[in-house]
Amino acid sequence: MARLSSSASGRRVSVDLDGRTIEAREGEPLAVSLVDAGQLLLSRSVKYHRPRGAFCMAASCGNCLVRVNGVPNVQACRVAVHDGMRVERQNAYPSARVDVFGFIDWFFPRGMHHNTILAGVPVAEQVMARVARQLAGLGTLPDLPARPLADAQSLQVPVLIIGAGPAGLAASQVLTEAGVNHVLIERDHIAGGRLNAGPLEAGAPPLDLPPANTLWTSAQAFGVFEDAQGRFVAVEHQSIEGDRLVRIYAQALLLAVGGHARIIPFENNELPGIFAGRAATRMIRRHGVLPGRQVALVGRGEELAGVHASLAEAGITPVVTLDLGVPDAPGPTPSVGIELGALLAEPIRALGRAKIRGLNYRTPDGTDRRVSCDALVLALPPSPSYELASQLGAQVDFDPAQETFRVRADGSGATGVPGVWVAGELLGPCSAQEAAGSGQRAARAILAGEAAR
Amino acid sequence: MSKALVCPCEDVTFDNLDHAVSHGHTDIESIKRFTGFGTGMCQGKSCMPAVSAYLHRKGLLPPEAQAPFTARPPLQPTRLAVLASDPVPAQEPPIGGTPPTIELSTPALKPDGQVPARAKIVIIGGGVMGLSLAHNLALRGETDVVVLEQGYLLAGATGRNGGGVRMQWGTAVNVGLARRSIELMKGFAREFGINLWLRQGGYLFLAKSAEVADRLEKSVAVQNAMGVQTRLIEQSEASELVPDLSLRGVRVAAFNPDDGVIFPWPFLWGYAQSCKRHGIAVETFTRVTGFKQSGAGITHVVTDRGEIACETVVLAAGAWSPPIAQLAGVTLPNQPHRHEICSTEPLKPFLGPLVSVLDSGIYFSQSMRGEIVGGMGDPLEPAGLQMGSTMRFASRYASALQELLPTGGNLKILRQWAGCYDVTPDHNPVLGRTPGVENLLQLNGFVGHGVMMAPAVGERMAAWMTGAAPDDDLFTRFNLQRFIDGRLEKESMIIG
Repeated sequence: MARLSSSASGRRVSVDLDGRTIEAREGEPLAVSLVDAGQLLLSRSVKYHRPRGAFCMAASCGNCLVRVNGVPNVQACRVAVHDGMRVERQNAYPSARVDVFGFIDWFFPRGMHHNTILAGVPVAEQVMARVARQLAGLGTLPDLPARPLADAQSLQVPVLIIGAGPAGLAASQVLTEAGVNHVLIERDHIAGGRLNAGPLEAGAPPLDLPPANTLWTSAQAFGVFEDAQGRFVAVEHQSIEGDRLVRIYAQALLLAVGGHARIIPFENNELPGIFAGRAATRMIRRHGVLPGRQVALVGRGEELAGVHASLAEAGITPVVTLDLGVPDAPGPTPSVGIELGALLAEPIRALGRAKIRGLNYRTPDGTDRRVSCDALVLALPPSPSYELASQLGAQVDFDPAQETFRVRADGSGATGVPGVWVAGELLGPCSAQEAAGSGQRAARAILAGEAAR
Repeated sequence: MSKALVCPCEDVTFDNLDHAVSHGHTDIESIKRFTGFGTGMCQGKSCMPAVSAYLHRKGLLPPEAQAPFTARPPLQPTRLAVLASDPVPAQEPPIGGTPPTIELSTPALKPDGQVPARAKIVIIGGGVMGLSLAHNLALRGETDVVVLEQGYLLAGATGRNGGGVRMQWGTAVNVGLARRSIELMKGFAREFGINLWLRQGGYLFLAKSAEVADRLEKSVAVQNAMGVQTRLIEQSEASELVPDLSLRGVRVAAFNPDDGVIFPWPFLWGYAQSCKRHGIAVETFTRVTGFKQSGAGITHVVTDRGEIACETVVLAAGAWSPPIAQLAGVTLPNQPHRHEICSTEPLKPFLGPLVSVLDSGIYFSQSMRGEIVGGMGDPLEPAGLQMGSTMRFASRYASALQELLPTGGNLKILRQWAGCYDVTPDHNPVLGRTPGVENLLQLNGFVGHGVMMAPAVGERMAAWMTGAAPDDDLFTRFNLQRFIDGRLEKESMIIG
């Protein structure tokens, strides 16, 4: 593809991709370097052997799995490039490009129903069971035993904030000013979230980092559990000293984990070269890597406007911009309004075999059109990442207007579960500024609770 | 080819959702299980809202009935080596569970209308036992039956089962039941039109201590006497069976090639479909709230959707059986015990048999989809209907699995869950009549192994109930009276 000259990228290094040497940037997510190198096709899917490539760049999909240094099923968007890294595509024979099992996709044009296929058909049933077992699964056992980790640590802290986007950062600032000891964890290797990885937006707050000992980056909360000491968040923390498991016991928890990339129904909606809006903005803003040269943009609302602006700043004018309108009130987003797109009742259709080549769509007046493109960016508001809140016992509701789930909370972000607050996009689509505001409100509510204790 | 995918991890299309709904799976948990959406590497992050959005748009599920499926730990695929780095306190029992409550039903999912006003037989519990019995009653011409299930199909232990099926048991009666069940499983797809994915890769039991080795050897003798082909094998042969396995400290290994693994969910779909075909109502999301009794019997089963007048009641509610029996004034000796289990990412086939170390209780096998599915009992687990997950389990299991499978440390756990074993004092089931409540029949207490026994037990109980085999001693030998009489025979081959 192309890399913006203004970008601050790591040093050029080489990685081995299926025996070919590919140039990559040290420290950059592997998936981003591979997009830059034009390597969109990363594997074949588990059942139909459909081509797969990075989609969300944020560990919320399973589309960028590769074998890295002998370890199967590594999310390429989560692993940092180093010189000499060995990368192998998975689940394809003889190669991901010419995968003989690709016939399965053609053989079952309407999909197959694994529960009933050939059920009870003599002989065929046994043959199928054998074939199915051989075809199932991605990757093979790791080459080597894992390096043992140092023993897990425990940490007691009055407040734990999870997610260092605008909401988490703003909350941290309030707590810092009030002199409240807290930890802010961020799963990315840098803080900022949408402030430096999301769509450009007017009025976004500046990126003010908290004191270094407060912020832990590359720290992934993977669950909340209980033991004799009480409730704790289990965190996998990667640092120069190696990976470490940390149990963090906090009196107050503020969840500001944002959302996941959304999937919308249209044909071939997972072809390599189709990216979530925030995957595109993340590549551009953090790494200076463009999603493509001929980019089609589909989306709605402020998210569409913001991604459009981010692309424009990177010098990309979309070959087409399609506005899906809001679900319950069909119509254009006033701020974009470039070309009315079709609503989902008249779906778009992605074209291409190993990666996206074009897009079919229907204009509101009923005209069918086709554009060529080498990337399709889907700019929809993220779907709230309710999972941790749900594990803590918070109520999660379906929001019919946004067609997503969201965490139920009052104006301060209190969830009704003792000691659990939420802020930012967990509460539904909002601007970065609004997210910061909700983070501040939650932090003040936590302070008020502290004071009352 | 043109497909629109809702779950790219598992190649589930939007069309598959329609197919699931057309087969009667109309709540999220059921659609998840029928289509497999949300069970891949993304753990449902991208597909769950897409499924709900689609169901909402098509008017298939009202917003108030839309609840995301259980958010299971870990929230991100987490390596065994990471989980194993947490030192597990030897004396500290598991505490709590994640999530704190697991909803098997919500008011919005409760079907409209009342349950049938009367039925000859009411079966409480729509798990594998209850439905196997209902299906077998239908085969014997008895279709005046209603099955009551408190949640969605598969909400209970059947849906939480690891899928292992084995003939390696310690008593002749259990060997016989398991052998007959596996025989019936072989013909399941033909009989029901649904794949059970039985794969007879064998069970490899390992024993490390002298005491456990002795127990294993004795059970092999029992099995051989029953004609089951279990063999005590040398370490070299065990290594050939599973080349990646570490056999350090293993004293004795036993292998039966006819054991295997199944996919437990289709069991219920097949049986439930058969019930439906025979006119037997399977009332899901329906809770038993009491009984009306007269003299020495039950006249009505009271539910939150009305009463059913009946002649016979069968209690097949697994770990929920004791509180339900209590509603009829009957005390069961059974106790629920959480058993945790987990699944890794899917891998290409490398593991033939299910492997279990009898000493620690760890077991693991490779599913048809390629995941390593396994669990491990916890001697400190307190009794209680708790189905949340703990980190204690994840850490204990990860350490034990890494020791057995040294190259597995960088494999990732995708999800952990738990089910409740229905544990009896002698590890044998509770079957047959209830002293003092004549028309209440027991079909519970299977100690986590109901799935592998249900086909045969359902067959025999239906024959016994319909008069075809009134003298079957299974239903006297394992009745409730035995706990009063002290006629206990201990089953020694309980794992998990």
